[in-house]
Amino acid sequence: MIAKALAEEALKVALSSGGDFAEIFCEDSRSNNLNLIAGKLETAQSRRSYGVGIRIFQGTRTVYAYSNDMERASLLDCARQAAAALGSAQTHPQEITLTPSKAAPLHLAKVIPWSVSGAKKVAKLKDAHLAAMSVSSEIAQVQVSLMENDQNILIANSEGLYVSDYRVRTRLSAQVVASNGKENQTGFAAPGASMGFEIFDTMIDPAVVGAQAAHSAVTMLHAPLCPAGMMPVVIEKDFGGVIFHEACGHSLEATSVARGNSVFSGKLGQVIASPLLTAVDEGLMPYGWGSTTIDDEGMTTGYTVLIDKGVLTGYLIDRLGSRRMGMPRTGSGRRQSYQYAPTSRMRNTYIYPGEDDEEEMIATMGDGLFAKDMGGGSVNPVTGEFNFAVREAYLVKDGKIAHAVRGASLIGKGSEIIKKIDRVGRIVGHGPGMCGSASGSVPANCGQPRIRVSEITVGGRQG
Amino acid sequence: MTTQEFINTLLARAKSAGFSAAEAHYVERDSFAVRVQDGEIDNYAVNKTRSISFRGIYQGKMGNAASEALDEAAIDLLVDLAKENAMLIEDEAEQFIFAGSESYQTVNCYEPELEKITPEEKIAFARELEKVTLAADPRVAQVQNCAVTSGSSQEIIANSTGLYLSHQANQITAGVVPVVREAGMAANERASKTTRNFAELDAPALAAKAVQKSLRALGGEPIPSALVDVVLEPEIAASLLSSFSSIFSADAAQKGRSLYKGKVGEMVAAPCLTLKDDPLMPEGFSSRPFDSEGVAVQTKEVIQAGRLTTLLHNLQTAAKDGVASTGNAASGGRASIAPFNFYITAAEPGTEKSKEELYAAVGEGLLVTRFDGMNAGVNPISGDFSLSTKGVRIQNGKLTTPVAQVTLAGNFYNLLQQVAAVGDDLTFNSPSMASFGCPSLLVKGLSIAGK
Repeated sequence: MIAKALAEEALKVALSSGGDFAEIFCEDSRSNNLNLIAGKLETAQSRRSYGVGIRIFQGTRTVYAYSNDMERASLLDCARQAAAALGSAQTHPQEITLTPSKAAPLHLAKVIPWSVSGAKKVAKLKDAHLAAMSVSSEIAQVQVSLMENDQNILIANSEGLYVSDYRVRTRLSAQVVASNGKENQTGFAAPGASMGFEIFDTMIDPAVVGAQAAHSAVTMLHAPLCPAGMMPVVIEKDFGGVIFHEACGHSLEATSVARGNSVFSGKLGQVIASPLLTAVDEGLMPYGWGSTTIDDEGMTTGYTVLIDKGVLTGYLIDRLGSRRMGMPRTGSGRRQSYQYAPTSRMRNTYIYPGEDDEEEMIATMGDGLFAKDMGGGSVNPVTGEFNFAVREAYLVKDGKIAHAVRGASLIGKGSEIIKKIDRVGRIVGHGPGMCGSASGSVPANCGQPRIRVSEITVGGRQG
Repeated sequence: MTTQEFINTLLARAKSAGFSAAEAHYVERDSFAVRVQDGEIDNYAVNKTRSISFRGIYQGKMGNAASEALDEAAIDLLVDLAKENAMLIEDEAEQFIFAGSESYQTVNCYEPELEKITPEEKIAFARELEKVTLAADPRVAQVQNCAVTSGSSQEIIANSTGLYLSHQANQITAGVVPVVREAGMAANERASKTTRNFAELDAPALAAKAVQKSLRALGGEPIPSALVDVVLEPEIAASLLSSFSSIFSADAAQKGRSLYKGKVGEMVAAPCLTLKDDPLMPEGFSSRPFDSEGVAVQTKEVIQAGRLTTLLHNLQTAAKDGVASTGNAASGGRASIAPFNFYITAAEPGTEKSKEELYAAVGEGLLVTRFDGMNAGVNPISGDFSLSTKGVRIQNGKLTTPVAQVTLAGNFYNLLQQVAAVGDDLTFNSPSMASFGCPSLLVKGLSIAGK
């Protein structure tokens, strides 16, 4: 992408106006998207993203510039523009000597997407389609997509770093519409991992994915509306972990914490949650959807314990956050692409296994809600108010699952909800999602064992 | 290689590779952003990008490929990938590369004067905006975000029929989010303004609006779960319209993903409202003379006094339904159809109500001032929504105390029928993919979940 000598030259230019740190992020990535509708491949799209971003620091002031052009003249011009934006001081930075390295891969994709024929991929989509259609005569429409991408990155900075990495991700998604002619309901399933096409040998059975989405759609079509109000809620393992992601995770990112905006600012070492709650964020999980060998600032990712038995033990800190907070980085600097400056982001975030029995927590909950499959959500870190959608929910009456209900959402304040976790199950599962924030949309895993929250506001449609 | 040479070479290469028709869609963007904190520049960004999307018909099937690298190697890659992709397509629907409409209206979306505003002037404005926001009220504890962003774009559509269209646009946006605190409570609401005339940016007015919105939200409490009548503020109603705009796509209807399949000509909404798409609105931020297939755009009513008069079409969905394209093709993958400046208005001019009249008509209910979780709490296929909500309680026809930690749930298809009155305060949200506008709406019978 960018040769060492040119990177050295550009970094020197970037530091010519008083900056004390400069960084170059180059990217050449490719994505493929196949979309099967009603059993026929309807669209096939390929995209190549290609560009470079230059970031300069002066203390905690930052400048970011990006361009699609990696030719020498354009790159130096981009560096010059960024430097000019920082100030007019003329400084003479020292020579920069970069030391090339390659990220020691955490996991390697075995079958890169571009080596597999389109026909083989379409066959996988059709397996999912057929399985979905065979679930019920009420299945009105099935849409199956395969998303594959790879990302070649190179990061160079004025501390001498010159490191490259290669990332591959694959995800299959099925969205099924069940209809009775008057009403439509949907079901969704979308597993994915940091893997190539071998994902279909080891992790994803397309028929299972299609059938799962179809069952969910049909179940919801026959479900009455969810009642509204405060009630105990059991949240299933896997992507259920999105509750921690929204309720707590975002508020532990340096972006929120550093300026004192977060409800968790200045609370390290304090009890902030139920003693049953231990939660971690890590980049190292092999093949994890949110894993990266190095973060987008070139640091080897790590394992960050956020909450240990209810005590706040860590934040997610990127390079800028580290300067603002005076605390070490955690390998959490991430960005969607070269078009974004990195910020502190979650990777694979999950609640650690506890010791509670998965069946007991429903049997003893009385009347409440069992949230089996979660959609996405959002949070306002300043107030800690979060919300998220429940894709598949069941009403619990007197400790027994009664029937499915539709249209549920959960809201609350993160700092309050994490104190109300009164059961944590033994078996952790994970689910992939796309997380949107200041540095764009990045793949993030959410995980947890089945947990119970003693009381939470359920948004529904019946008083 | 110039852009022109690149496009010409690409189309020629496509022809020799066996494409019967081909098209290049080129987009170039320049953008600028500055964010200030405590009077200092906190973040500054200058960017320039260009990308090309190529599509072509190979043996009757449409193949697509896009690239941000625009060099000799990219030409071969685009043609090869598009051909590979075309060969995978099984859908038999007719594909179109359009030869052009008879005429195109002009709509000015580019103000050369705006390009003369220097970075220093934008920085000075951002600093001023932060300063007046901090000074607006003693309860303003800090400014969470204060930024000025501007951008310009140039777009070219060129295809093998000889069609060549280009369009230029620019705009500038200033926005601020104060954090107000009082007695352990916090609130942060945003105000922003987008314009093509820098002189229209008014720092004290923006600061006052953001601070007033934030103070109004301070100390919100849940209200009991109930079925209530609500007034949706214009920005809130417009964001809901935005989230559900795909239900008006003919593609969604044809695929059973919208309940408006076969409903054109029927009453689908309250007779007091009309829904328009006006791509030619002079001050519109999503205005343009042609859609992404090169078809001339047109102003139309999609719902006229409650009756669905048309869905939004591109060439392919129009051919399937035996109608003409409405000029609503959108670029980029599955979102193949989209409105431009899409807004709700009163069906009968003169029947609009003031805010006070709407509150009085509600009597007991809720003014909705904010939704959170629009990314997940709405389902455009079922129409269901359940959203974290803030607002102000309406009692005896007047605004009283702030409300928070409740959800508002309903179904958008039903909501359009539950509208009982339309306000006189049509407002457009900051444009994203398209611009969405709405006046205040009085909606009967939505579900609140709270205490």
